[in-house]
Amino acid sequence: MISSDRLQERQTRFVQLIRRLKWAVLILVPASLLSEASRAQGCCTAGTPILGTLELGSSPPNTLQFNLTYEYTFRDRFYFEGDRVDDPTVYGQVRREQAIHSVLLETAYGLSRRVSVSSVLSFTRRGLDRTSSAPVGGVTTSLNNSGLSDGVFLVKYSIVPLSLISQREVALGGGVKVPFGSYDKTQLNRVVFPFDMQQGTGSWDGILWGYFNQGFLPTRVHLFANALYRFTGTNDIGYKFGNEIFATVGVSYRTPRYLDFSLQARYRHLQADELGGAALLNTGGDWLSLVPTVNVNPANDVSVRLFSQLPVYQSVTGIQLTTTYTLGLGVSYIVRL
Amino acid sequence: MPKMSITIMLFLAVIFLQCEDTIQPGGRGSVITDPSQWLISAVYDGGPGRDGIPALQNPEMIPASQATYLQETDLVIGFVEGDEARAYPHAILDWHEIINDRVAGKKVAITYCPLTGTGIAYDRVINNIQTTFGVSGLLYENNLIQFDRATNSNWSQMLMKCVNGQLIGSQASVYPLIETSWSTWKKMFPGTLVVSTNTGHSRSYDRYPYGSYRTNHDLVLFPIGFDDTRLQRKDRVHGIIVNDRTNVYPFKTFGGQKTVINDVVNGQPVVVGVSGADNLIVSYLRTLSGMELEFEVVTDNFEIYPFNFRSNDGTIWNVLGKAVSGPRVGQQLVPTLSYNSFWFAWGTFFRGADIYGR
Repeated sequence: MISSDRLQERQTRFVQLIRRLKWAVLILVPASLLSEASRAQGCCTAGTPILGTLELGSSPPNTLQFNLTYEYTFRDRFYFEGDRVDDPTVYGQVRREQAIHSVLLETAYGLSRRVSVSSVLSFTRRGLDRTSSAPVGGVTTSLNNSGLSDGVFLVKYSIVPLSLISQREVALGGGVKVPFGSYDKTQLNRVVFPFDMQQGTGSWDGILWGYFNQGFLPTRVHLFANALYRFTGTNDIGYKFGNEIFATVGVSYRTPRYLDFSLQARYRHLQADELGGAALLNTGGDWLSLVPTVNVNPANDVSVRLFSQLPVYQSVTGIQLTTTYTLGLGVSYIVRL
Repeated sequence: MPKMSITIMLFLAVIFLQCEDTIQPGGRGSVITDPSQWLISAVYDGGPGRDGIPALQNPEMIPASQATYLQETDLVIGFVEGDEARAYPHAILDWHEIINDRVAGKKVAITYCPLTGTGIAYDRVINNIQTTFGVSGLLYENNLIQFDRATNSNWSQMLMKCVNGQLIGSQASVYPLIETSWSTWKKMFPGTLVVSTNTGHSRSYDRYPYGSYRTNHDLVLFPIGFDDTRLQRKDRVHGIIVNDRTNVYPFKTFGGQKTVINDVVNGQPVVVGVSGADNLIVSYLRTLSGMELEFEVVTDNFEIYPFNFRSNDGTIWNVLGKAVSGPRVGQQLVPTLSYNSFWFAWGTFFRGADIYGR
């Protein structure tokens, strides 16, 4: 057993250490996940979660916030334009099941009352089972790929900093998506993985970000909205993933004690991918999903988040495999420096 | 609380660290691709996986009169053996890419890559072992990589060579094909059989599955190693291979005309017969029994064939290269090693090809 005094002493030392090394932490903690030895990865192609995590407002000054999130995404449904396809082989596709495990670390630091910086890094494991129909049907081959994904670095500026009186925050930001993830990784047989099994895009992308939050005292209800636009670059094999718009609107309710509940509507619009400037078949589309979330707040500086993402509408270009559901678990920890 | 975060991070790390980048057996009867050496680089996984595009085995054949799903201008790949002629329409091959068949006793695999527009007939007997070919789901320079089921070796369709697996380095034995419009093929071979849409697979054979791909010159689905811009990417060409040199004859060069070209490819005299209106180009060696022949086109009797050749010794040859009258009647010209292709594919596979008319 550790006495409460020793625990408090350790926490104090930890905070002091973080305070001394705050810049190093902001850079090195994510960077440590980038090393090959850590086998870290992320994802920026189909089912990309890295943009979905950028839903926090700007951080208060002199606070360092860590959000560690695990997401599991399962995809086995085909859609042709807006219609569910029961038998994808009719369209020349094979039955597929794709499972994506992602661990994302968002680190945010408040430089001042208005300015904060944040980064998102992720590690992803992708598995894909493909079941063929020839020569006798039912033959399944599996692919697995894991590694570091692309990262995001953002600078956020609060136009209207959060105050207890107004209960309102409006923030804008911009940043880059950095191509840490592989985009031409090969399998053990030296065959290049399909594009939707790669961890990154190979391109530097620009990101514009906006955030709005309005609380309604004394109801403990908040309305929030988040929008993000990613304008993509072209990688060195001439492939350009489609520009992306990501927007959420949600409402949250904080109970008097440990629990928060929220419900978001999340919209994603993806333009078609391009190769050599030409739009590729069966890429791009629109998706709308609901994200119910439960937050547990066991301490002031800690919260645990459990969420799900459930698709409610999709309209894709051509025929595409789409997300069936996503489950997630996150932990947030705030260090006040 | 840092302790809790660290514990969760360690838990998640355990989940992720246990995985390797692998191709694993999946469910029942799964297949492991041979990971050994390749003769080519930048092989892409096209997405559907092995057998994800189902090759056909001895498909149901029907008479031309029953092939109501075909339009007159649809392209077919024709194979003739003895008295038997069979047509393998693009409309079927776009969805299946390989048809393993037996024609007049000859065991043949009609292979067709929709992304490169290349149709090549492979002998299904390799090293005295009969096999069938399947679609590997892999692509090299956008072109089909097929595998033989006897050894699971992978073959580059356009290179006509085994590039991975037990038979690596082996050269394929191929047969000549004729690619032309359905109306022309029917006229040349009224008794032809053609593949039925009753393939055992549910496909929309009246629909082209690749959208604007055939005509959109900008659109390729995978990176190409060398983009030769002397022609437009989707221009169809007839290419002739003589050792390490090639010549191509673009269809668009000829418009609708019928003509014969006496040419030389890498020192080898060849004759190229063209009927632009019939979407037909054939080519043969001009050397026969040690004698080099010169040819001209004959268009005054083409009720069956779009054109005939006349050689300088007075022999009349049909488009199949068979002497039908004159001093060499009954003799057969030797077909070139050739096939039709989209230009971008030929340009990257056979860099520096000579283009007829340039």
